[in-house]
Amino acid sequence: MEPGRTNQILKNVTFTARSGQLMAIMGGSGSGKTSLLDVVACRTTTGDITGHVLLNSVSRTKAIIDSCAGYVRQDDRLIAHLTVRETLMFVAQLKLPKSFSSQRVCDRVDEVIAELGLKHVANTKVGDANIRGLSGGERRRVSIGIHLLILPSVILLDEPTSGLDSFTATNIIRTLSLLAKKGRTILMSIHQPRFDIFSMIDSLMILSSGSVVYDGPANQMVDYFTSLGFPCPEHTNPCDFYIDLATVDPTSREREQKSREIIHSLHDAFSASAHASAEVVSFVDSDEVQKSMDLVRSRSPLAFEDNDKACTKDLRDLLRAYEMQRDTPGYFKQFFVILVRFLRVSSDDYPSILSKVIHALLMSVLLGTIYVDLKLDEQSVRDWFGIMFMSTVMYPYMVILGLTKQCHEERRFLYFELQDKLYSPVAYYFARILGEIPFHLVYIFFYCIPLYTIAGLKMDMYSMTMFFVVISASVFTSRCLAIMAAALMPTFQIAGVFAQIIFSLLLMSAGFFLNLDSIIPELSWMSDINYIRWSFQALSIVEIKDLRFDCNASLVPAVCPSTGEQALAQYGLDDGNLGVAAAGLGGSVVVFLAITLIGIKFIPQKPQDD
Amino acid sequence: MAQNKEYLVPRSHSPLLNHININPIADTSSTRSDQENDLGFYQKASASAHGMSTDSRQNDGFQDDSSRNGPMDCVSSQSTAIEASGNVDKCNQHQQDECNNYTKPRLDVNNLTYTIRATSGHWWSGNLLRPARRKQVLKNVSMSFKRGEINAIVGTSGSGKTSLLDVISGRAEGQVDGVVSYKHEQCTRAMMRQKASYVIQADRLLPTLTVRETLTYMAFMKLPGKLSFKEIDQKVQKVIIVMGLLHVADSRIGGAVIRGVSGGEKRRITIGVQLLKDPEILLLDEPTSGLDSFTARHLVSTLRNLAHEGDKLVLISIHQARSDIFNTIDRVAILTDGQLAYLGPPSQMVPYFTSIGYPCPKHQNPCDVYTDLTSVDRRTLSREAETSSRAKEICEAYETSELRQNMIENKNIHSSAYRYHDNSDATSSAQADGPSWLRIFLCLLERMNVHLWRERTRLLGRIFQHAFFVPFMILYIGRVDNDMGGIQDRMGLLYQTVQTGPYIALTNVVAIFPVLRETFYRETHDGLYSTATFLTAYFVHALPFNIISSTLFSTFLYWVVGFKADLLTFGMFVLVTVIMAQFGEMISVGFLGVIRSVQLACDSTALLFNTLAFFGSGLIRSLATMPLVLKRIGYICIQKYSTEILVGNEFHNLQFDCDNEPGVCATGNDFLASRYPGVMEHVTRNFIIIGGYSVLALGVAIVMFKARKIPTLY
Repeated sequence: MEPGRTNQILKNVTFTARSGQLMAIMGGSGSGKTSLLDVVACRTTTGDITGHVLLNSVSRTKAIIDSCAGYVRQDDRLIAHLTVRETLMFVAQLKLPKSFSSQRVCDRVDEVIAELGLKHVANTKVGDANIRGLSGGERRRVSIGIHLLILPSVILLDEPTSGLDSFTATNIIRTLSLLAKKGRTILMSIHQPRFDIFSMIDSLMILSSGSVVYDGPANQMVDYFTSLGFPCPEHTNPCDFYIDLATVDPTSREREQKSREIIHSLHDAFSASAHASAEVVSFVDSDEVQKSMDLVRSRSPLAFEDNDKACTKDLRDLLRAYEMQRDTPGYFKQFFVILVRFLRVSSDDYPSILSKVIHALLMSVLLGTIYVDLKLDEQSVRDWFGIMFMSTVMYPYMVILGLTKQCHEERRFLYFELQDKLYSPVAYYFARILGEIPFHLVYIFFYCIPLYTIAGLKMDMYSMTMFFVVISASVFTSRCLAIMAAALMPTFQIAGVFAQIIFSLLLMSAGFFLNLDSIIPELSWMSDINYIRWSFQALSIVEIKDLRFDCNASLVPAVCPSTGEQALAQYGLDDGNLGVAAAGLGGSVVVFLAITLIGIKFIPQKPQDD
Repeated sequence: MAQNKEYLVPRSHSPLLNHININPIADTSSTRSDQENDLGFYQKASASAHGMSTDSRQNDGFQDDSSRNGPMDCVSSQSTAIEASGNVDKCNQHQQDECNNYTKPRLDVNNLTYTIRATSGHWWSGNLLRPARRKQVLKNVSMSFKRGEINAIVGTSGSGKTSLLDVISGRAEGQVDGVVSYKHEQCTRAMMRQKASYVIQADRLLPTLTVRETLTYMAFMKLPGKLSFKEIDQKVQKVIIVMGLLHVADSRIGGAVIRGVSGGEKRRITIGVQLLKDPEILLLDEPTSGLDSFTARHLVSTLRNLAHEGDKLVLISIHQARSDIFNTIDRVAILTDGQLAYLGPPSQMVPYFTSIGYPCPKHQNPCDVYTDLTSVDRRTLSREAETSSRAKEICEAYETSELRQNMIENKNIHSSAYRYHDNSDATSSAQADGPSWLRIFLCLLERMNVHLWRERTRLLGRIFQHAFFVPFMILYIGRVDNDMGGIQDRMGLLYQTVQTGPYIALTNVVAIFPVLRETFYRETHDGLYSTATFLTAYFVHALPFNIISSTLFSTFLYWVVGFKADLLTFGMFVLVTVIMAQFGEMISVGFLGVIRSVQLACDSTALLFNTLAFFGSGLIRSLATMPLVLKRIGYICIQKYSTEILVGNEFHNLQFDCDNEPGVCATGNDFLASRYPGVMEHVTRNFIIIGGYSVLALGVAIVMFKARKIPTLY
């Protein structure tokens, strides 16, 4: 590994965003816009930060920021199957204090829907590329709405217009401008704003490779740069023109050199200008940041006059918001809310349910057909074990990969919801596992019935029920295995390989491919803790133990098992009964889930987008 | 007025006159055009009467063109002298006036209407039951572009930009009414293939190759086979210089994982690939999307140079042109909802729109202002009605404007006489000219090898992944015993042996093939080579790796587990695993051809392999007791034959230890007789069958690729 290079992303940036204003951060790509927002919102995971971010004169901590600010990310991470109201309701139930009555929560959701002009689509599904739903602009509004639920006084937005067409983008900014007029502080990054958007922005800052080249009212920008000797040509969007001016042109060496010089001069000019010095307004009250207060105070003493009164009021507001935010619902409520959402989303995704049912039926019919018309002679003994083994492993094998993938796809929103402290991962996983059981049982039902009838297994109630129970248990254990793999491993590929390696180790030691008696003694414990072996054995006990085989045609009568019990003995499946098998399956479930819990506690669930 | 005069052009001039521009369409300054046409008609023989400041380059173009192309304006091929003279004859006899009147070669679009069948969802959402909606993407569009200029089509998404490029390049899939013609010949796909290159929006390049390698391989596959290596190198070098790629010529292109050249450079490579053939027309779909402003500007100025200095017709579609880009373009067309709202030089745009009542505010980009002005806002019904009526009004205003009148007048002269080019000789000459099949095949093969060689982890996977499976198989038992349980162990191991080969091949294919498939889609779109050539090259490419990896696997497994210690049976064991891997490889490839989603293709292939093994191998269900119908199904499974070879070799003459069961003891022959009767007689037949199957798999893969058409690449 080569030693990591340090890279200074932001350089001595000072600015103030005021309430009632729509402030934009502009700059070419790589100028540090998003990083600046991340720092303000306490969402940086790596890197050293020096300097201070003050919120109404208090140095902000993550808890304070979470309680009074909303951070809207660039991409909409919404669940396609929920309606607008459901999406907002879900967040409201988790984010609003538990002292709120459900009526009040509903009212808050309605307020937000009305404020963003989403009334006409309140009961429309969000949708995505495959499901018809909201338009891009409406989706962006819902993303913003999620963060409006706690009535934040500060809203941070990363590129709210990216990927939207010009009308929609203009409309979103108009909405934001209205929100700002109601007394909120809105800070957004924006890339290449069009002129109509530019004209709605109150104040703006241009960043160039991490340092400020302009910060001030939007309508003074052209004059400012003109005074520096860079007038904006006619019929050219001033934003485009000045952002280009402040960006390094990489297309040739001399251009790069030249643009660097210009940027340097712009930066120097700005540091010296009135815009920069007049805006440093900061003071600090809390004890823990006394030092930083002194630092700021020493830098700009004039800013600290007569604002003390207002400050205490501001502080009180902040504290109240903070207190309210600590009062969020507990684990049980979280679990319940997530469970309801999970059931809602899963049951709405009926194409997926249907395809899984068809999948189960296909597997089932395939297996049943292969083992149709089983005889009771010596040659068929292996086939009897074959059907027991194959019914145990066929379905789980397909389920494991699918579920690992699904878990990794869910990280797409899980990661961000966890980062927004919406709920605890433990509540999420329990809700997820429990929520799946009803669907799981339906699939197993469709898997068992054709298989059982086509292959012509024992047609009594006890055997049929046991068959269903054992298969459900073993598939459920496989699901736990998949969830464990997904929780432990960083990417889907690795998790898939990991789950498959475990599964093939289990497969080989389950007693069908290799005889349990010939497994070397040092590794026989592997088959004792193997849940597939136990479900294989349980099925064999239920279905094969009572069979009688016809040994008359046998070439070597001595090795022909005439009873099911002898056959079981030949396969090394004679020690242990159904109780032991149940313990084996249950033990595996407990172990897998315990590891899963440990995994999600300590391993961050970063989504893997590619 | 201009119309009348133009008929006065002397008809049998020397071929040189073909290139003299008397086309008044360049004079879009509406008030002066008539006047200039008067003069222009006589003066333009010296190509100097243009109102715009393009005199000098017109001259350049004139000389360039005549020296390079000679008298072949009317014909599609510029390859050989014999052909050329033949075509001149044809010209003189039948189409004289066109040959003479048309000077600067021009691409005309005449009253083009393009209708597609819009489908509103997948077939499973009941789409088959609903009647398909017909949607007019382009409505009666007429425009005209000239060689030596860079033209841009601007419009919001859904305005028909890409559809227009599709129609021009001959890729339209819907119903096309109206005529697209180049140099007065109706454009056909074959003709456009020769004269035009279409640069699609996505860069599908192999990340492991360097820029120069990418271009060189493409040159080998694109350029005439008679060119020597040196000439090809020179051509490639020229393209590298023209596209400004000299500083990265020997860097790898890179992708998501490996860092390589920048996005702008990738776009340049994609364009460079299309320039190798030296096309007359270059069509680009959104070449600047995804690039930052400098890179975009730099790219457009390169394209402008190509048009002006290389005398090409460059036509780009662009979503949002910033003012700096906008001003470098010679002519801009604004499309809205499939209709033309403006076509003319950018400098005329503000005056024109101001004259019809829409001035442009001072600090705004006219291109943004006027695309917004003409586009339809569909968010609310009232807005839609309002904006669409405005758009309609503007389009109508344009219809009657002088700008358009000039263009139409100029075109109507010959609108009756489009030649329908006989494209059969175009294609045949193209084929005669192209590189030989062997050259393409070797080039593809070498490129695949180089690609894999550079992807070290994939290469290691290819070689060792199969053998990596052995420890899992033998972990629990070490060596097979010779007691009764040993029968079960052997059958389990042989089942795994038959199955792992195809599976490992599948995982390798999933890792390696999708990138190749992407490049294949792009290149076969360009008509470089056929599906069969590509897949045969892949077959040959994969075979040595399957031989090596399966041999490793077999050696490891066979001797550690302790199968029959006999070199001949071991050799057969190796051969069977190699053939099974190759079979699996080609079937997996075939599935990737039919199913676009890699995951879904992988799952279906795995399911197919399972099913084949269930029915065929007899290791999961014994064949002897299977109902007859199922047995018949088993006959089509390759696993039946490979298992027979393996089981027969292993169990034949095998003796079991019967110490604990004295007296009666089964032998391997007994086992064979009861479960696989007669296998030892059929070894040769079985080998022929499985060998045939793996070659047949190649054919199946080709058919599967053909069954699913090449996707449209956007």
